Amino acid sequence: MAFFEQVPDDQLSPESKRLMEIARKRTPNQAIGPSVRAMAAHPRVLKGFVEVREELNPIPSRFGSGHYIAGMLIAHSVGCRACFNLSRGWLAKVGFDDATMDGYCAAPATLPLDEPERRMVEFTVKLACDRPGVKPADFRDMEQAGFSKEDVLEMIGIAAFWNLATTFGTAIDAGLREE
Amino acid sequence: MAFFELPKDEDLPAESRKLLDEYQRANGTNVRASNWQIFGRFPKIIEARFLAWKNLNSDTSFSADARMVAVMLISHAKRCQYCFVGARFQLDKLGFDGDTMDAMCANPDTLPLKERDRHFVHYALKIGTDSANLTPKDFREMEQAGFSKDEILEIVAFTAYWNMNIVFSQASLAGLAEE
Repeated sequence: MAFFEQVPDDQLSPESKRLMEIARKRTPNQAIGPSVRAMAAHPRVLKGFVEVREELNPIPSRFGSGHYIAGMLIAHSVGCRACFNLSRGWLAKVGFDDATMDGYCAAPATLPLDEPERRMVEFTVKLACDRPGVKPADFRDMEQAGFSKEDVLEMIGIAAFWNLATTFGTAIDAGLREE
Repeated sequence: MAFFELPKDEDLPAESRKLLDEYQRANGTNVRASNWQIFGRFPKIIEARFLAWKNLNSDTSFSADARMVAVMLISHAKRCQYCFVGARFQLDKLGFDGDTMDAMCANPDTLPLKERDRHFVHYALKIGTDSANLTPKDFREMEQAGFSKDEILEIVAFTAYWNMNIVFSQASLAGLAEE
């Protein structure tokens, strides 16, 4: 028996139903994942998660599919199955095949992407996974590559969001495993 | 010269100023947090962070002592100077002296806290720094330590919030550092 339970639709409060509907639209197959269903047991936590995702990781993103490639690589790096599957689901929906995505995960330092997208993904992953390694010069490099300061602030927001999401995802996933 | 400039209050949209004021009041300081102010021109990022701070970090049954010790230890483990100093500032106001805080950082397994607070910090630190290795057994242990399922979701949410906030803080600090 799993420690956490997934809350079925008929047990949700009206406010939680509203939030779950927002969450549903954020999934590639219009089906809410087990982690969010478990989160629904605590309406305030569900609200906190859903609202922050809407603001920091909007769809559509100004960075195109880059934000989900970054999400996939961050989730892969920290071992978050829920975020990994969600990111891959979105990427598959916009035309990425499994072999391409596997290739990105196997060699994240040499992504075969257009230059701006590659820079965006690498910088966002670095912000999420190697922050002590981020130096002032990295910001200047991004500016010289054509990104505005506003772009960079948004990338920080995306990296921050994925750190929140992968913490939720890995922890709740462990509590959803059968003992 | 730093990459980012801190926007002046008068240059910020009214909705950002309002939330920054509220955040500042809640933290009992008359100084704007630079890791928030830097995003002030983006009301959606300020709003996302504020709502997450309120829903995932603040409205909780856990004591301020426990939460601030957890923030200090998570930021110590993740080398976030900004959050570390901020947590110690709050702990100082709560009556902890520097030697006690240093001792907690040096030996997080023997914290001079009430038993419930000690358990909270232990699990928050585990989720915050090693969530990928959580097992179902960890959740049963939390339950046996006296936490309800709702409270355990709150510990996960609290930790996820700080993992997100640390990205904002470390990235801000690097972008505000003089080159």
